[in-house]
Amino acid sequence: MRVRLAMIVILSLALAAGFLAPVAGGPAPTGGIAFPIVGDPTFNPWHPRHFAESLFITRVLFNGLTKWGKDSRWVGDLAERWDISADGLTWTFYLRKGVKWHDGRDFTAEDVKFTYDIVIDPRLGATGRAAFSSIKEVRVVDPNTVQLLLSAPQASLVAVVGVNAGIIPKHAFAGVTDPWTHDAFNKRNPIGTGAYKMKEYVPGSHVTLERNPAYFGGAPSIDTVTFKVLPDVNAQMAQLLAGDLTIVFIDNPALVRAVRGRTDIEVSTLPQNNFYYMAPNHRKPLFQDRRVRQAFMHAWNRPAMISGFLEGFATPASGPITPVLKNYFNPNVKTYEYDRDRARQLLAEAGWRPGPDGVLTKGGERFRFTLLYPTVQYFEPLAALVQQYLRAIGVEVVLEGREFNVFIQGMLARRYDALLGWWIMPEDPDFFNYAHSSAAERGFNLPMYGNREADALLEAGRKATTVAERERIYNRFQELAAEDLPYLYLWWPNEIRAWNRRLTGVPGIHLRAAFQWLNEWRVR
Amino acid sequence: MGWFLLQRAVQALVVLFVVSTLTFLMVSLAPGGPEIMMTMETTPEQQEALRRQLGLDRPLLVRFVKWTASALRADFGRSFSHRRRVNELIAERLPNTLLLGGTALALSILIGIPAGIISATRRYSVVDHAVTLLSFIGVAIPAFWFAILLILLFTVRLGWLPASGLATPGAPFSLADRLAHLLLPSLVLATAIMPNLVRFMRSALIEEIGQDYVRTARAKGLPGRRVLSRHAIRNALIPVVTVLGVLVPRLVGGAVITETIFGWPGMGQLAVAATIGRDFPVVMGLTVVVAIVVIVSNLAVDLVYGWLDPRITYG
Repeated sequence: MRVRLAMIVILSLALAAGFLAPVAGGPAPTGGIAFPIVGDPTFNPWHPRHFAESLFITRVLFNGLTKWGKDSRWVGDLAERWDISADGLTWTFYLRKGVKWHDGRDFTAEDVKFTYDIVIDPRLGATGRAAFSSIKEVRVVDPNTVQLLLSAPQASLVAVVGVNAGIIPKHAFAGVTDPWTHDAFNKRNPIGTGAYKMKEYVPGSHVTLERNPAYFGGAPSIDTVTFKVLPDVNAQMAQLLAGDLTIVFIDNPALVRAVRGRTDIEVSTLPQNNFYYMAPNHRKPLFQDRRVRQAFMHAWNRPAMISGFLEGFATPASGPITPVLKNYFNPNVKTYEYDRDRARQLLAEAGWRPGPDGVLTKGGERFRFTLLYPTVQYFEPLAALVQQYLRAIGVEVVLEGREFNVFIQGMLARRYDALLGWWIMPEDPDFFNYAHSSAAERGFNLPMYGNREADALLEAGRKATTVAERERIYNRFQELAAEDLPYLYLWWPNEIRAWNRRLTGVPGIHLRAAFQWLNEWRVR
Repeated sequence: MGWFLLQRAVQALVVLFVVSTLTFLMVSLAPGGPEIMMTMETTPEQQEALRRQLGLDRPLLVRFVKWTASALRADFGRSFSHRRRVNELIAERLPNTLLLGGTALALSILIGIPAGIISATRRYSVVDHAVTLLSFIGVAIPAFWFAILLILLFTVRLGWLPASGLATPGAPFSLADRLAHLLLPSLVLATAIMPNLVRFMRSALIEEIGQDYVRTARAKGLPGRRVLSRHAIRNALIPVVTVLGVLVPRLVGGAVITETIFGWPGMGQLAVAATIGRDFPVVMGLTVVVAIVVIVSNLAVDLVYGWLDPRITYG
């Protein structure tokens, strides 16, 4: 027994010696950076399963026709310049010359045609294709010139072709009938034109990309980028603190406390083109009176909610177009202060009187509706607070928190009285898809809003050919949107990110766009 | 014995059939549908296109029959999200889970069993109280909290151990590196299993020591050690083996929380991602594999009984 015990002790010490040799576990191989993703990615930006965890990687591997520039305007990526025909229906993109795919083959207009043909094919169901619904046909003019022919003018096309719209190589899909099952590309060895190319993918563990010295935007200085699969957000923060991760996206503002005050970590925040909202279903009689919608806007204390669970990292929203869109943003629109009396007054004007239990009634009907929301992020406390605020003015809210997938199904089937959600939009004021009556049933017009003036403005905004004209149109649209309230605006959240101070050169634009400039990042 | 094994085989098939049918029904009929649409910017067209591509627009019965037919050939189809054969995915992840679970089990047995023995033989001593206290703490600690605590201490504070993965990405193979990555997750897992072993060993051994035959052996003059190891412990192991039989499938089924926090690419992580991502074929494949593991470990437990206790015979 004693001998056995001794052997066990010796063995344990030997093992321990192996463990305790300090393993730095630092950020990837030397000269590399690491970023966390929450699940296994798909390397095809158009694949139906290309979700949030994949987009950082595909934005690095691939390039679109345009991208969001460091000075906050749309600049050419694979396209050097473009022009639009007088009728707005033909966009001609003049592509960069000499761009090579990661396997050495030449990039040409054929690749653009190949990609967009997949996008516009309704049978394939490419992800994000709703944004490209006005593209009718893609035409190759010459190896460096491609045309997108539209069915209706769309001034925002320049933005739309720059967001998660990476061009994929035609030659890599030669002989493939179904692009979504071409796993050699989609799940193993993608071939792009980007600053980094595929080096290693260990499913469930990490993806490592290595620098592409032939990148047309300038060779990157950082050797490798590793995307670690880390579903747990606390583990991500711990690794940032330990130096195993170089940069993280902070989704939950409460986590900022964990990194505040650390001299080796830099936390930065900036506004993004994103707004959180309650979308009332305008087809339900309850919400059809504008005064009711305005009453809701007065009923909730948005600054309190922002400091409560957003730690101040947001601004109460006055409309769907955010201050990020500098020239288009209209600050002179109707705003709503937290004012319960005003809310009650508006509801009374609309014919609602408090019943015996305080809940408003009109013609025998109680003011009661169900609120659908996804149980992600901070929607649970948000929904509970909304319920409280509305109850205080006599409105009864039944909460329906659902798992994200179930929420989406309910959203698609339009099975809600009202819902809570958010829209992250490309940096363009074109709000057509989100509020035009044609997008009510099967588009993103979740409130099912249909207002003739709004429709006319949104159509005009797409047809307009000059910035001045668009400014005028969207200024008026914002006035209308603030008065008539297609959505009930909550706030514009800030993006929060934290990185190790060894990292420099990250452009001051939102992180997804900043990844498209990865070739300019530096590590000390 | 042959008859016994045949009986068990038939039972196994019945269990597998019931389990797969129920799982298939639950996953197909769950709210939210069998396809995944995890983004706000989605449209009914996309949903329909996806349904058609994945064959999810066919009737439930047709799909089930198809699945069963291929499952009987041990072909669990192709994962929707990983796009690889489910068999391949499981074959890739299973060794990682076995490594983690096996290490946790080994740690638990190597430390837990002796601890239980010492606790039983020195009942009510300081050592016994300490072991009991630690066991209760071990059972009470939630895995996710303990895991983060360990990471904060050993990775962030001390910088001794890495916080995730199988090995350092991109680095050449090194045993020390692998072991370093293995230590924290297996410690967390072991904390969940060890207390059970300790407690069961302790109470089973106490009961054995109180038996008449032990008193007889001592009276005969056998050294206390030999009485213990040759006789008492062996009999006390029976309930312990039972507990192990229950715990092993839990390890394989996925130390889900541990694997998620430590980014360990095992079956548990695969299962969670597949469930949330509505990755049907993977969920079904994993269910069958875990069911088989449960069946096999139950059988193994029964056979070990027979070896431990000659009074038990089969067939």
